[in-house]
Amino acid sequence: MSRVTAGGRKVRGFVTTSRLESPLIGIQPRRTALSLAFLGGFGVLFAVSHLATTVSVGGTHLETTSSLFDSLTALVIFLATAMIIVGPYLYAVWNGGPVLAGTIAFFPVVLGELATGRYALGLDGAIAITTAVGGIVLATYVLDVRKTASLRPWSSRTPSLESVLALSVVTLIGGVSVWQFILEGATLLGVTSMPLALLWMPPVTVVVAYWTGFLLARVQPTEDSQLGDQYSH
Amino acid sequence: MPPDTELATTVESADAQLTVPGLEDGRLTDERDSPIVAYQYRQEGSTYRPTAPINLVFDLEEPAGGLDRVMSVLEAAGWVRAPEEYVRYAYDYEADEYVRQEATAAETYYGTSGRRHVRCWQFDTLVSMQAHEDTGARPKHGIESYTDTREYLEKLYAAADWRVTPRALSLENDEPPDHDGYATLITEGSR
Repeated sequence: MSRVTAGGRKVRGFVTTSRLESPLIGIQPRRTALSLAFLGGFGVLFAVSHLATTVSVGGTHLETTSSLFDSLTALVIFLATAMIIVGPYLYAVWNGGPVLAGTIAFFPVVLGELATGRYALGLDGAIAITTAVGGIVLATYVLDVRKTASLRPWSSRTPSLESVLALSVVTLIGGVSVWQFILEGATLLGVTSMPLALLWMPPVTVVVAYWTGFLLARVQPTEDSQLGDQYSH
Repeated sequence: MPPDTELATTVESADAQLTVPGLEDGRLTDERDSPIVAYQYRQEGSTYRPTAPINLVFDLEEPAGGLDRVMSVLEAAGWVRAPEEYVRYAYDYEADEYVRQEATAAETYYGTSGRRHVRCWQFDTLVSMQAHEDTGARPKHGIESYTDTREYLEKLYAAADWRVTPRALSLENDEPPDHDGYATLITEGSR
């Protein structure tokens, strides 16, 4: 199946609705659809594993009937780990799309919270916030690099105030949450602040660079420095 | 929120004793007679293989609701009940059957980068707990430490006003990487 998009490019894929074509979600609808299908697949595996723990038939828990359920647990933990730790970065580089890049890290964490009814920020959640913010900023940067054909999009073209503000808010809220978590969970396992702090350096640097570019453009207006809404769709 | 700032750096021993069948001077002499179990087991086909050692034993005021009271301290510290985990069993000599884990909890649902994790079984007025620290999932969890989590829980339960006697019981279940064969006795309330 193929169709012609608004931009005139041929796109092959199983889902190519206009919503999936928003650059906030992803650059190539086919890759976006693949990623959403992956999330759905993970959701199914998660649900089966969780139900096997909670459902009993005639007094026998489902998970005791086969060692396959232990294998499923190992798979779910492996996939969740990949999604939480590297998912947002990989997706941002592969397909842009800040919203979906951030969602990938939070998806397994939110499923876990929903399944157990516990709402407390744990180490997995703190890592997810860190990588999600990193992925959101990286995806926005990737989109701007494509638009401007420059590795420093903040200097070759003034980014929109909306997107810079949105990135700033996301980075600030995420950063403060993780900072609080580290302060309060000092003896929590594995919470060494250094690896987490290092992961915050790139997004903070990029956001600062965007602000610098934006403010410089206000001081020295150029032809292409008009406040655009390049992300509104 | 984790009550970490309130945790003591050392736990003062309550010097409690336990009097149950199969136990002499704090040493488990006959597991078949005792409500204490020494290992958790993993099912492999039709057989069961001992894996991780029991390293904490809780002496309850009364059996009813015991598991929930033990778990409530962990829940207050932000732990999650029934996380994503493998199925393990304890052997009930009296009923001659393997019993699926009765209550479990961990610091996080997946433990992507390590987590403390416990499994519990209750026999009579005792809860036997297997506590360990998982490694990060690279790609699967392994055992980082038994001792870290035993000592962390000693502080956690002491802070919640349970009486803690570190390494009170010799279960002779030494296990790599770092378990010394002793279980800590944690006594509820006025017992």
